[in-house]
Amino acid sequence: MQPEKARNAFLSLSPNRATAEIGWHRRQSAYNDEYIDQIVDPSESVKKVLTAIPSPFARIHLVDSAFHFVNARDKQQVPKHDGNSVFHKLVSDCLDVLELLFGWNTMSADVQTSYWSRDELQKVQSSVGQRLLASVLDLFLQQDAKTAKFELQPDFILMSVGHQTIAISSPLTLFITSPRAAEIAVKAKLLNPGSGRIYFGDPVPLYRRSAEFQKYVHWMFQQNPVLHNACRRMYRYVNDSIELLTDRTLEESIRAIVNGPDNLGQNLDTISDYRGMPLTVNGVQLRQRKSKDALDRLRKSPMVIASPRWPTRLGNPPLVLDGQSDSFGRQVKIDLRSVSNDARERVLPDLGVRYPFLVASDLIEDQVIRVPYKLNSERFFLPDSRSLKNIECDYLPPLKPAFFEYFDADHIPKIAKFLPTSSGGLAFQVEVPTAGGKVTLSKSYYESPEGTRPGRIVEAKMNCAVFPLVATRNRPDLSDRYWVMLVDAEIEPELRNQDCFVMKFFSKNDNQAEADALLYKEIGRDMKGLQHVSVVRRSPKGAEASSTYFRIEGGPFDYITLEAFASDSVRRARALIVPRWVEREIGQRRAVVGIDFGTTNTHVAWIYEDDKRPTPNAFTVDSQELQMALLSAPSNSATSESAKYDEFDSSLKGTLLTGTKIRLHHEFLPNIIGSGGSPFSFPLRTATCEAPGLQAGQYQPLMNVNISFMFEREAKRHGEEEINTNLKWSLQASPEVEKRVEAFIEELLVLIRTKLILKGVDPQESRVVWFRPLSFGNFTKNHFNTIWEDKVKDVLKSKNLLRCITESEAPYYYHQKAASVITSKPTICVDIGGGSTDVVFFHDDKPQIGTSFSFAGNALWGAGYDEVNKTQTGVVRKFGPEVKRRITQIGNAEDRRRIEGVYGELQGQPCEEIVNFFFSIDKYVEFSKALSHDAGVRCLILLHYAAIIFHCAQVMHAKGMPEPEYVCLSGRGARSLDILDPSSDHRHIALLTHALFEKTYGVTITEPIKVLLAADSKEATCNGGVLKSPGDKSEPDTVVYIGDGKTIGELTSEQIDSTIRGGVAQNLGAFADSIAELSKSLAFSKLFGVKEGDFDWIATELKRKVVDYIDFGLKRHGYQANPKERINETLFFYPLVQKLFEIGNRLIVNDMDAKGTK
Amino acid sequence: MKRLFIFGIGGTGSRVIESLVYLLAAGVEIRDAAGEPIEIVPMLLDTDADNQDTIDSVKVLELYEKLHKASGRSAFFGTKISRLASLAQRPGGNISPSFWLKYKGVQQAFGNFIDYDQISSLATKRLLEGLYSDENMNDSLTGGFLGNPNVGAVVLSGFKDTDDFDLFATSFNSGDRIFIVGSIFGGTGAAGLPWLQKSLRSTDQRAGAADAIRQALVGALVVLPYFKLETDEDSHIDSNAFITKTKAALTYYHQHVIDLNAIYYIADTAKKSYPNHESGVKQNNAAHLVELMGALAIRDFVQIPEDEFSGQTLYHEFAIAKDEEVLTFSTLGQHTAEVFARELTQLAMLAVLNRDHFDKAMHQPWAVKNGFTKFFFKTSDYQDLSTFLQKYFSQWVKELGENRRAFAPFAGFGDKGESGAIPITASDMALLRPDLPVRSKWFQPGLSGERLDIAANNMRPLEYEDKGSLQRFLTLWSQATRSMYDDCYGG
Repeated sequence: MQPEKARNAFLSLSPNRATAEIGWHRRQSAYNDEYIDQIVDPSESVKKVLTAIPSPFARIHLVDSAFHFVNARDKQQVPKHDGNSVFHKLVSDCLDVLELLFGWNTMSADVQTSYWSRDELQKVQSSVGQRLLASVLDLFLQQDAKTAKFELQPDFILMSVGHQTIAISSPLTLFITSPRAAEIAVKAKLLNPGSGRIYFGDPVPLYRRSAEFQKYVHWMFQQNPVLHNACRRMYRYVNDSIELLTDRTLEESIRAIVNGPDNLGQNLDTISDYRGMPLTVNGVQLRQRKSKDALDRLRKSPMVIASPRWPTRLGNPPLVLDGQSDSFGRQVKIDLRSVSNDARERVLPDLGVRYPFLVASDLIEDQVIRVPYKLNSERFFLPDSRSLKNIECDYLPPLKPAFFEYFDADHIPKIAKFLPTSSGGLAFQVEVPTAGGKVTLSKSYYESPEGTRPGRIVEAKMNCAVFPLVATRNRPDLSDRYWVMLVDAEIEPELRNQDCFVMKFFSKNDNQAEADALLYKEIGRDMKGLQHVSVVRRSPKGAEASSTYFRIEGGPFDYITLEAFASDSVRRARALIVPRWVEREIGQRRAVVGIDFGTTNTHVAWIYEDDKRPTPNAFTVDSQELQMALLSAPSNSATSESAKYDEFDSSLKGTLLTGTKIRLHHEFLPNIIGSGGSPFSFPLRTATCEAPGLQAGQYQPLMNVNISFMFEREAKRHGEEEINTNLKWSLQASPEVEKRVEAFIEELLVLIRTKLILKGVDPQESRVVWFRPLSFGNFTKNHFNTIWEDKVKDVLKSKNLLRCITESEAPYYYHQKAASVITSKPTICVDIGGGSTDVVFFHDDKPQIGTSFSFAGNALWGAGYDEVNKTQTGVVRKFGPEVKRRITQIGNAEDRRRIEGVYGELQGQPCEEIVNFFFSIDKYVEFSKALSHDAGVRCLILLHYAAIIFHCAQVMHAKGMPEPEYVCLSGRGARSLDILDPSSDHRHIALLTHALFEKTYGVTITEPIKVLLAADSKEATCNGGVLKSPGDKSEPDTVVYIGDGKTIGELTSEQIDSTIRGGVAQNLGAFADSIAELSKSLAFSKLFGVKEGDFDWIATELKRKVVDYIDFGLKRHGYQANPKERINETLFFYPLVQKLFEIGNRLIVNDMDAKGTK
Repeated sequence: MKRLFIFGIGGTGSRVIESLVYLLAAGVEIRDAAGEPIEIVPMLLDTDADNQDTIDSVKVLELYEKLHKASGRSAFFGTKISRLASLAQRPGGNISPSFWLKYKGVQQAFGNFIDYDQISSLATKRLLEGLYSDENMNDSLTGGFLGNPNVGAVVLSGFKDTDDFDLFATSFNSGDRIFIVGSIFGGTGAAGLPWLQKSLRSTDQRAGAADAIRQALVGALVVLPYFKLETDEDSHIDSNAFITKTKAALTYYHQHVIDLNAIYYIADTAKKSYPNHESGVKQNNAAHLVELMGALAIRDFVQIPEDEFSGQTLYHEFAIAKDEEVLTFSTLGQHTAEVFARELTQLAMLAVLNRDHFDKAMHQPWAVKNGFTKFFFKTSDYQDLSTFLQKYFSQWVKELGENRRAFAPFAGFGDKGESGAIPITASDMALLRPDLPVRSKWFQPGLSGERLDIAANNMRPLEYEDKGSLQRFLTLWSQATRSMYDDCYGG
């Protein structure tokens, strides 16, 4: 009967549908847990969090229900704690909160606690909606007080991260998470220690969590019977989880905890809420593991970085993790992909403990920069790249600045290296030393990484140079300025208008007192700071690379960050450039440095002051004492030292090669000077190269204005640079000239200072001698002196060790030492420069008198008083075409192009400049040799020289000095005497000199007068200057001999009356007669190879229009317009300047005409 | 007369009440344990203003209300159904004129509704962040609670501040009963049911006869899932989660919704997918057996004697005789069929006659004698009846029969074109009840309009009411169909 009736079926969700009942009928109980459990949920994989419960506290009940559902058992009666359903997730989230609290003090993010009490509802009354909300919250708290145990927990704990709730307490399950907990946890990087994942992610049942945590949960329930009822479903879950354990030891110890009193509590700390009160739910104190232990263990981990810098700013010594080992070095793979940016805020993925650690991306950049040349490992710290096929590295170290937080620059070659990868890429490894050995952090790079992922090898056409690469740690004042040249050769059209590279300079942060201060900081442009950097973009991109110059003040920087292609998301890359500073202690030695800042050339020579037999040396920079560091490596295949450093390796190609070369040599400075076959050497042309259109306030040495090493070596770069000469005599012409002079001098002094430092010399204690021509007025002299004083003090830091010597006096000391000039008779030092000739008459080893006149090299080769340079001298007319032809025959194409360029620019320039140029390319075109074969030229040189000696003799005679024994000749203008008399002792010239003195003195001079011609006149000045005893304060008296044969003293132009003019003309006539006589008595045609009889017509010519030419001269020197101004030189040479031009024309052009008729 | 206040919450509430209306229209009686008739006061509480199910229910109720007035001693439409407003001493004000109470909650997002941003208690904001999801807070409530009963619980609570609630409370007399109908898996019903229960019992509730209400016998029909929705990724409602949600909700109910006197559970294993419409006009699901049986639960609750409750909750379940996909009165079980089979069959006969017989039967004596001329059939009274039968009742029967699980007590209401459909016309209604053959006599025609005419003609001439009134018509036909039922299916 019964089975028959049981065929009825319930309209219900229960699978047990058969019933004996029919229609509406009573059932014994509500649909309770037991009933609900049998309802089969087809959708256990539903991921949407469900709010099925009609209470504002639905979530609290939902989590409670979740425990209930997860408590279900399968057919073998095994609890279903594993699963992916919404319920498993909610259970796991709830356990996550407990676990998060369990690691409270080492938590990975800042989690705050606060409370909500029912009193808060009084503040929720300001609108209808709020009042309803408050009333319903109140209604449910009241109505469900017993059933939902709200009575046990009057206040709710609120846990939040950054003002966002992640969890609230629940009387039924201790905690529930907020619906957004997972999202917040991801953002805050809240790490679950058990799973190594972010909290509130995939479900993890209790029995799979850390043993420590499991024990704690069991202990908590055992200790607090109140939870057995209030959290009964959770309690069942906790109890059931023991059955699932596979670790028997753990199971036993948990059963021990469950079965009786246990001392586990000793290992647990309470958790303090924001008020410092213990955190409790349902009156039960929540606990955490003792955090101190974990941190202590970590500090002793073998993975702790072994850094010479200690302690680091991170507080705790960071671990170094490569993903292959855990926090204690055990071989376990751990996931490091989602670590926080701030190493301090990191949470160890395996432990879930907040503790600093470093991963590859902390020290290594995502992209690597390759430069199209070999890098200079001698001058920069580079990773070991021996494993690459290339002999030398062409990858900049892809290190992040953070490297320097732990290591010094010299660690780079020791612990960083490049390796090829099997897949054709490049790996960069840093073997970070740790307490237990080392951990290798690495990244790989490819030419074309897949898709948009990083790891690209980025080619960068750039080069840079650091000057000077010398640091003086014991004397920071001498390490006060550095320059960096940046060449950007990315000249593709789309990149032309942008700076592809950005350099930032970093040095140790002295202000370590600042909170969170990094060990290194960028050197800013703040002038108030101890260090600052200034930048000048000098030459823009065009067909050639652009240049940018940085000046870094306040000490050597430690590294440069090079940022490439910042605006290109694919090619954006960064690397470090780390100079190998040449460290020098400032030594005890002293030096004397002579600087001859000449009209045409500048020379520098120096000696050690304590040298017993000092031999002045010209200033040089050789490969042993390089001052500059160029990022590209020196060329190994070069044939000379100079070419090695200044011609560059063949790997440096195209615009980068030319860009580097041009910028370096034109705008900066060469590596090698005066050594190793360098084309650059002292004496050097006195010229500046500067950015066009600078105003006086804009001049910045080595940034937009520099010593021109290229002038007359290579054509000017139009639009990019301006070359300025004639600095010496136009100092007061404009403020710009003054700035040029200052820049020139500052650069010289920095070169000198660096040299001295490298030589172990204390620049501060070294003397500097500068030279002035006799003809400098007081004002000019003082102006120069101020500049010298300022610059010497600024650069060399020395005081009162500056000295000025007259240019013509200086060679005396040189000859005195070099040629052992020892005589009781006077010695004349004649310095024939470009514009002026200075003469100093020594007697008794002291400079007695001096005189100076504007009759020098320019008078010999120039076009007289032709002011518009329209007229070409005979020499230029005769030899110009030949030189031009020879230029076209220069074998070296590069030299030829360069010289042709310069020659082209000289058209329309004064003839003396053209001749200077011809002399400067003498080795190519044999100009001197050509001249020496020309009788007319020799005649002209003879006449020029004879006039000078004639005047000198008259001065000496007038001053009552005995006849001299030595005539020391120096200066560029004196070089032409080699053409006249190539013999080493210049005996023919000596004969002529002797004869001229005898004529003037009217006596027979018994001791033959000797002529000393300084091999390099600049050197004579400089060397002599440095050799002059510091105790010798003597200076010559300047005299002016009017030139009329009798008057001594300066006259104003209005005093130059017809008597004076007549006197000068007469005196010039006497000279003409003397020379004509001597041409016969000394047989000039044999002695000097001049044409017989030429001096007859020359004598006649010399007497014509003399007075007119005096006026020309006065006018040319501006005296006519200023009748009251004193004329500080003789009038004797005024007519001769024009005469020499005319005579030269006739001598040479006649010869040409004669040849033309043949 | 004692009253039964029925809160029909949400779509399911409306649909159960609509089913109840058809039962009452057919003549099923609602009487208390003492056999006294009960006045039904249905209150539809649905915040979804566009819910077509509720709109239809309201129309059906309104038609019933009219037809009841015209029913007189007829068994058809015999039970009094009153709108809440009709109980008012002085109607007006903010009292809802309709069966559908005006309280619509809000047409904005919950966060706006509770003025979340302006809550001055930071702690409360934090608490709410823990309790409510962003979806809960930000989704517009225009279409109801979209499966978020935790939101609904708050929003619906505004109902207690309405004049309607006040009227309910003051109209409530000791001995009246309350019945709450709602689904457990949806939004509105699920939200309203526990809140209403808690509110009615709350000591903070002071409106009207608060004490009487607190003491009142309250029953509830808890409708569990009985259909699925077609899967729609974009919808807030995922019927795959219906069971999950139900289990969670049941867990809450059984622990926290404890102060009810009777609970009726009903569900069905889902066999039919409905189009997924979160709410609104498109939510117009086909009628289902579960709703009809739910309506029967109301009858059951009313007749339980007061002393049977004795402070405990009486739980009820429903069983059918045969677990088949298509049920008839027979397979539903005799016990249940007895409650309403005859009545519903009578109404079905009336519906068929209305559809294709009366317009041809005006010459019959029952029509002539009683003054049912063609003008009668054009009166608005009759048109209301016709509409009720044709547009609503017939449609309802059709839907019940086509749903799955189906309750198909009658043939002839389905779509004519459907294969296997049994065509029923007034000329041959022999197969009206597929489960039960018509008892026939050799000298009589089978069940048909003709035979029904005979039955009507055989009725004693009615003295009752005016000739040509709907009252007289309904009385006539309730008697005629009753007699025909007894003849054909009875005994």
